[in-house]
Amino acid sequence: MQTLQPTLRLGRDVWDRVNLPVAEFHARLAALRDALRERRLEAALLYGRGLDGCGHPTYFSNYTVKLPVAALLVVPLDAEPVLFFQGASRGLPAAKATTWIADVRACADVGASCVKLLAESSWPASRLGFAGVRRLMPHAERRRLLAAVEPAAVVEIDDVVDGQRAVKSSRELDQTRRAARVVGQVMAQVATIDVAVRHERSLEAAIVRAARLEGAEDVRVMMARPTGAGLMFRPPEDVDLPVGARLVIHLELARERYWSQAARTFEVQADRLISVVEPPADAVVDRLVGELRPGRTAAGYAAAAADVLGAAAGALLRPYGFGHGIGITREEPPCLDASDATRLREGMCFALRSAWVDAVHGPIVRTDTLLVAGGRSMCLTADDR
Amino acid sequence: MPDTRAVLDRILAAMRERALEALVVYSDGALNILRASHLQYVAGVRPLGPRNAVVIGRRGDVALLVEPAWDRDRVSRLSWIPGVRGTDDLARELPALLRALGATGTVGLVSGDLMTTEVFDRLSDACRVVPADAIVEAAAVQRSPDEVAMARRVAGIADVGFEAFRHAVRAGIREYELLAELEYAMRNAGADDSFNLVASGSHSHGMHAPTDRRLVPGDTVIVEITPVRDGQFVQLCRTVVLGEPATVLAERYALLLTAYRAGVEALGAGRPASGLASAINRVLSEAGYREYCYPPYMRTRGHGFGVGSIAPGIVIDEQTDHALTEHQVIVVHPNQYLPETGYLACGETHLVTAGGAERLARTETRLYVEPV
Repeated sequence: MQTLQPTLRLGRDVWDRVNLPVAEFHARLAALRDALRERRLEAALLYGRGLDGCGHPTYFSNYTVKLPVAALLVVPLDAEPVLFFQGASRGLPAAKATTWIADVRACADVGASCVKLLAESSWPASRLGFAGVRRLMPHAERRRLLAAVEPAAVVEIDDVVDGQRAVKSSRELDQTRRAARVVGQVMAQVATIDVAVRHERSLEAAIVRAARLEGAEDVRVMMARPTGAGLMFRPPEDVDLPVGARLVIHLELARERYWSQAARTFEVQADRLISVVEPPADAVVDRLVGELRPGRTAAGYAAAAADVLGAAAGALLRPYGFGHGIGITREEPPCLDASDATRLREGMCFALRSAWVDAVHGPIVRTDTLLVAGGRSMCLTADDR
Repeated sequence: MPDTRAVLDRILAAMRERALEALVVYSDGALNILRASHLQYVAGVRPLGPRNAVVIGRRGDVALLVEPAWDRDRVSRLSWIPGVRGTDDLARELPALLRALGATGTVGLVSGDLMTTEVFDRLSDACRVVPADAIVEAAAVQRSPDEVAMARRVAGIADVGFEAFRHAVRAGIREYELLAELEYAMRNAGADDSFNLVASGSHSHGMHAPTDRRLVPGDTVIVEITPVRDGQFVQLCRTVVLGEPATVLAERYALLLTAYRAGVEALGAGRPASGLASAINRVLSEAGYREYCYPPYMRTRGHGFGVGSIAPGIVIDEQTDHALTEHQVIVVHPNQYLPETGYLACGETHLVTAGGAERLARTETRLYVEPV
């Protein structure tokens, strides 16, 4: 689900080398280089831009942009990688504190700086793999980059990088578990927040604070008040929370680069929110979790989910989808919809949406972060069940 | 909020002057402190998704395309534009909308540098695209009373943030916990978001996102506090010492304050923006720090804030060729690395007036000393 992008990634910015040692990144790079060799490519250019689009460089370097700017990691087959980020040189110390890459360069235009590197490098660059460039790089910058690398052959390798990122290592799964635990803790705290002022933005402020104090580097909150017209998720607004209203809170956060998300349905009371839990809604979640299993395709899951949810709940979720991969970016392949033939595999993580419509009280909506492992999937954000 | 009718009239006049059949104002959904939010300025609402566009026809028809489609209801409610359309494929819908307006000739594109290849290629297949940022930038020079009021309001939010910061800053707290309290206070005071950087220690080299570091007695804590509301940022730059400051720190901070005041005195409608930088650099150079008046020891002596325009830009230096205009919002900050003290933060946001400048925040920049 789209959220408003923050103007700055404001929260705790650390690289814990126990959680993610350099060896982890070396292994990722080695796998990428194997794929480059298979495709007879001499280097990969991994581009990222913005707070929602920096996944490729971050996956291999641990560096992430803090502003809506660009980063580019150049990975030659037989030379050390070089990381470019768009920004001033005074940002270098902070950048170097969170990456293992030795050669980090600040610049105004990552594409132009990369071209300069290619021209000066001693390694061959006649066949280049591009990831993230077509999808994310502004058109003029991309055009200049393509012109400058001619006559090199450019091969799109998003599929390689996406495929590599989709199946998480055990250390990544631990990172996701830790992020999911924070999501669960913050969601549990929502019911303890004094909402005597009963105002959406005050509630958001309290949720963000709770997440920050647990080490969240990026926090997104969306809300919805289910109506007959649907869910209509939106950022919190300057409006009161009327007693008796149902409120769906969608929370996403990143902790040490890894994302988790959850959504829960609450009822507004005089001074607090209470989580709405109904056994039939829980049963729907259990059935959906049961359908998300290794071996079946994303499209196969989507078809099964449509059956489990039924027409009314399925219609509620349709604008937002049934779910998607989650990891070093908020939303990543595979997408749990009819068009995605990706086969689900052990080690994949997903954000999974469910809904159940109570004819009297309206819908209960829920999102969880799940891990596919051990021949099934398990919910990482299920502290309240 | 700008006077939308007046803004639209100014834009239409500029379109006629340049013989544009339509104007496309694009947004990637990001809110970037380093650039204007042209679409938000024109539409009065910030979009969620990564591809959005306002289309203005030469006869004054206005439409807004937002992606994802489900954001349409929210945007319709918050924007003055009557024709809001939700789409899940803006690259396809945008040329179709232009064709419906009869705009198949020359079309101006604003914030087109953010446009990705798929959208741009489809657009340029449908019409001749020319860059037109200057049209919205020019329309945004004249600020409405509501825009000025919003700048004052955001300055008040920054004051609340700084008070919360002072309340929370103490030995033992971690940088990220300190910034959590700052952010919380400003969100509660009405901020949509904020751009806050910090550094702590005895000798910092610049501000950054918060780390795990715990503050200790004697630390110099520097912070940039920048709440934003409806696209309008206001910034405070503050330095706080935990315990009595060393004499050298107090003396050097006094030097920065002198430089800051000299910079403020250079402000005023019609005056060159470069005067601000020259005045600050003169004070520091006369004190023997000429070599430190360049990056990486500093970034800029000030910059502009605004929704439709951030003129004079993200860097005000001695070469900035821009005459200040009334009601521009400018931060003046001789934030500076000095060899004896490390990086120090010192600065305020000002409203440019006919005769000078008005400080927007209630709290003032000075060396704050918090007891240990």
